[in-house]
Amino acid sequence: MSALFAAIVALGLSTANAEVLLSMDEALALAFPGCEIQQRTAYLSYEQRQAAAEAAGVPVESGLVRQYQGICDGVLAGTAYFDSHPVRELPSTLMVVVSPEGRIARAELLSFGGPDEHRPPPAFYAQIHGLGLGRELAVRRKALHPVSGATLSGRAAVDAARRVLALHGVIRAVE
Amino acid sequence: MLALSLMLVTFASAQADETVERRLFAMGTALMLRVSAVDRPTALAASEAALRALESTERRLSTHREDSELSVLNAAPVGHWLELSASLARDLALAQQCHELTLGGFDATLGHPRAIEFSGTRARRLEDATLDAGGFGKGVGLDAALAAARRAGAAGVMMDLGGQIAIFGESLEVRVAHPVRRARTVASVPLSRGSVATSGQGEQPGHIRDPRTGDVVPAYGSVTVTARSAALADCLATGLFVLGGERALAVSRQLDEVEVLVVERRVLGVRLAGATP
Repeated sequence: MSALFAAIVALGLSTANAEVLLSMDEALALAFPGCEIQQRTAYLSYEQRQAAAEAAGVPVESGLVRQYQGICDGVLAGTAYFDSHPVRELPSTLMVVVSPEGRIARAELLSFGGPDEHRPPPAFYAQIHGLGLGRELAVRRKALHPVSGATLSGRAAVDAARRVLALHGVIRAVE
Repeated sequence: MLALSLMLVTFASAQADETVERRLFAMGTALMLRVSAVDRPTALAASEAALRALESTERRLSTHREDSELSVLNAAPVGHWLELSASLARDLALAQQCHELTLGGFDATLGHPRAIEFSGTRARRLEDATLDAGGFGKGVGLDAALAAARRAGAAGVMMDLGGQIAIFGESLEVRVAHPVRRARTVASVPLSRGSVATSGQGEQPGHIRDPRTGDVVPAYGSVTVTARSAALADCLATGLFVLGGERALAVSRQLDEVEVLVVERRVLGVRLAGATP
């Protein structure tokens, strides 16, 4: 994966040539039905980016992180991130929702540029199910195995989930 | 349950103006969900209703969560009666039914079929054994998801949850993979309602044991089951696989509205055998 394109962005990467399954607004409305969405932007220092990259085990190229907090009846229901990354040079976007407890509550593919067989395979989704911050993230990192035939897309999906969790942890620590 | 043994080959959409496709994870595995409805907002709402139903099933049946209702039952002191929710009581009744239909090949108690006593919607453990929803939980979730999507206005739904397919308002041809050479197709199963599930040792050798003996079931091939109920297809696939090919076919002939395909590995290729009521 080209590290240049691996960045957490909200709307920054083009979805040209990508099949869009859900728009961001649709995905947020489904994840947080009837709730208020509060958009926040975090600006990470170089050191914070490095800390996130070390925790995730994948590059974090941008210090600008957009968060979408779902506030339901005044209570934080979760925080959504949109990770856009290239798979075979075509953009792919994954929404990752982190629960208030710091675990992945939802990971949903919003758009994918490659042919259908290059979408992240089921085994990779299974591996990130319920993944949380901290030691578990580091341990599971070593246990994540590629699946033949869809290695690039699968790795990209798992990398995205790890990157989001690590950034979420760094931002939470700052707060 | 053997995941990924089924490959979708066609998708004949019902008469609807909009189709939404979603790819995410649920119940510990991948979910591909297609919903058709009169318009996109309705299709989206129905897809989310299906997903929430799966999540609700997981909260009730997951043994990976300490707070699930099934985990609470498993952790209850031996002899202590617990009042079950109507949903869990129904789930466990189905598991018991599947145990009987498969002559013990399916066993949610993993070899302790008399470890749980039921009385109406109450249950208690009679010995230090636990229940596992691994052989029927996904199917229960799929049934709940189909019903929820339908109530929310879906005209047609197709779901692939970790390799088990469930539909309504659509028709499909589902390919059954070679038990070892997963990229090869050995048969196609038409599906116009309900669900199709496959069980075998191909992907995770040794993961299916005969609950009656504790022995690993030989990797002789796979058993594919279609049924109107996804939960039934799920548990029957496992239970019939445990029985072995010939016995599975013999038992399946006694089952209403259930079709079974047995794929047996041979020195040269595979042998296919099916049973239709």
